[in-house]
Amino acid sequence: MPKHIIGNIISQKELKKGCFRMAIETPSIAKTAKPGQFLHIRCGDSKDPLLRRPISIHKIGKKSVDVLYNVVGKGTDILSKKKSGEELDIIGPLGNGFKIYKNSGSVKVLVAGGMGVAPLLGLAEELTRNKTRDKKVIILGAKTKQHILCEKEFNKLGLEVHIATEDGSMGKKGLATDLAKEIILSKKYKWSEVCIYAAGPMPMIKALCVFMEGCSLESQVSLEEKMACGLGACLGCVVDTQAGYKRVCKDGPVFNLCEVICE
Amino acid sequence: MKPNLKVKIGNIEMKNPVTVASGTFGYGEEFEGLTGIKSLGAIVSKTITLNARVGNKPPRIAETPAGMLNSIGLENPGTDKFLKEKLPIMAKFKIPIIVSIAGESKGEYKEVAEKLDKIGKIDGIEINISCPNVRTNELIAQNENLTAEVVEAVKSATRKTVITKLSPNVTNIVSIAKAAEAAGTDAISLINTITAMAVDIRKKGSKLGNITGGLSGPAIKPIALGMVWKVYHSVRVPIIGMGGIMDWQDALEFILCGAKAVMVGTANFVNPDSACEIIKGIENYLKSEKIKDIKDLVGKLRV
Repeated sequence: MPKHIIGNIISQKELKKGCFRMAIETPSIAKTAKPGQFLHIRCGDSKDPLLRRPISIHKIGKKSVDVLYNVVGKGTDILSKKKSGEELDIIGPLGNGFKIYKNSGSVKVLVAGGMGVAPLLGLAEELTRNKTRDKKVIILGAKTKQHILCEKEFNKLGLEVHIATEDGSMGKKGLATDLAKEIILSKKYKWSEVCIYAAGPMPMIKALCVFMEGCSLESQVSLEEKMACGLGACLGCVVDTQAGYKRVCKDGPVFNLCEVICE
Repeated sequence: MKPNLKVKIGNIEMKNPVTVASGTFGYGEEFEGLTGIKSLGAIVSKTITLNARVGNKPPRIAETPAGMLNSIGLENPGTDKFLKEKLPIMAKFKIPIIVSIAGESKGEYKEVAEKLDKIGKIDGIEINISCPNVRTNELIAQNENLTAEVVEAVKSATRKTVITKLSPNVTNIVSIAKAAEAAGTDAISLINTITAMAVDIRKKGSKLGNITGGLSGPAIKPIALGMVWKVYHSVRVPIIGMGGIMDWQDALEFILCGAKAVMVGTANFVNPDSACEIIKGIENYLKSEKIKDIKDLVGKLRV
């Protein structure tokens, strides 16, 4: 059950230009939150911007949760100017979160496009907490070196980290999806054993679902859409799936890869 | 002394004048635990139609200065599934239930009303003739004759309280309100959203999959107040006012302009507890102004 609470900002740090990590003290949300869920945050007190902003849960602590976000407009700009000690109006945790199957696909391939990295760090922490012998790989994709985030944290967690940048300023030149395909093919992983966890822009998700056809049915993607209520009531954030329109806020944000319509 | 907040809309006895606008509260289930639904004066369903509707192509939401656009397109499970699956959820809250209905024709409105008429748990029917997201041609609420025909059709099918929801997208709101009243509506609710657009100059396209949508939120409040005021002076049936109500002060503005009750819409998305906070705010205002009954404030704008 989501809660509407006032949390205290513990810290806020600009990791890269325009990209912030904020830690919020909120024991009640931290207690039940799962990787892949999101917080619906009231960025300001005024009527403009009016709506809350849905922001992925990045890390889950004992009494706090972290979010990682880019400044993309008025709401996130206001959010980025908040200082530690200030209060924050939050509804959460919302959405379904990633499903973690025990004894599922033996190669977990996390694919992050740009800010898609945000929910995947929390997922990586959860995956490494469950001490399985699964192979865990993350592909971090971004426009340039400046936009690559959290590579050290993934390294520390013991994931095999691969990097792709569109301009070639770091790692392999190209898209995260192409690199993911290349790695899976070169390592000769069994297609059916590969379980994808992806988050990123829609073109990336669609490319993934085209060439990942046949990979583990447990593969999942986290989707984004503009939201109003965040609770499942207004039907504003739907995406088209094999089973018709589904709400990103309530039926998602995590969907099975095979549900997504690639057209 | 506790002021009296009770109001009656047709035969619907509301313990206070605050309810929610159709489409902004689902069927109540998603707001459980985030607000005290039982404290509301009534609950209003998302609009239902005879057959299920899948709704419009996404994106369906775009934010604008102090407002938002939506183009949901009346996505709903259809009347039978609503009665089976959603009405029991609404009935749990033990407050009056108003079901919002729409149709492709007056026959369809009538058919839905006939089905609802048989259900004892339902207290009122709101006729949505003003959704800007489902028809490309004229809205029913843009035409006096069509408005009257639909109201008559629904009234002939039910003895429940009938509320007609009007559109602001008209040249003369008063003539439409009068047509609805003459056709027998028990109450009038206004305003629905205003047809509007938002453009993405990079994509060179609309921010909505449906191209146009309906504007709601604080941006439309002045327009809504003006229309409530005008209609209040032209009809005798009670008015339920809405359009950008975010707090108790906004609600009181509508009441002073002639609304006997108010509906809270977009505010539910910003603060799910808005409607309940508004009830408390109105009560405190009445106490501080030493007004014994909310009805003493309806339409009492000093001019």
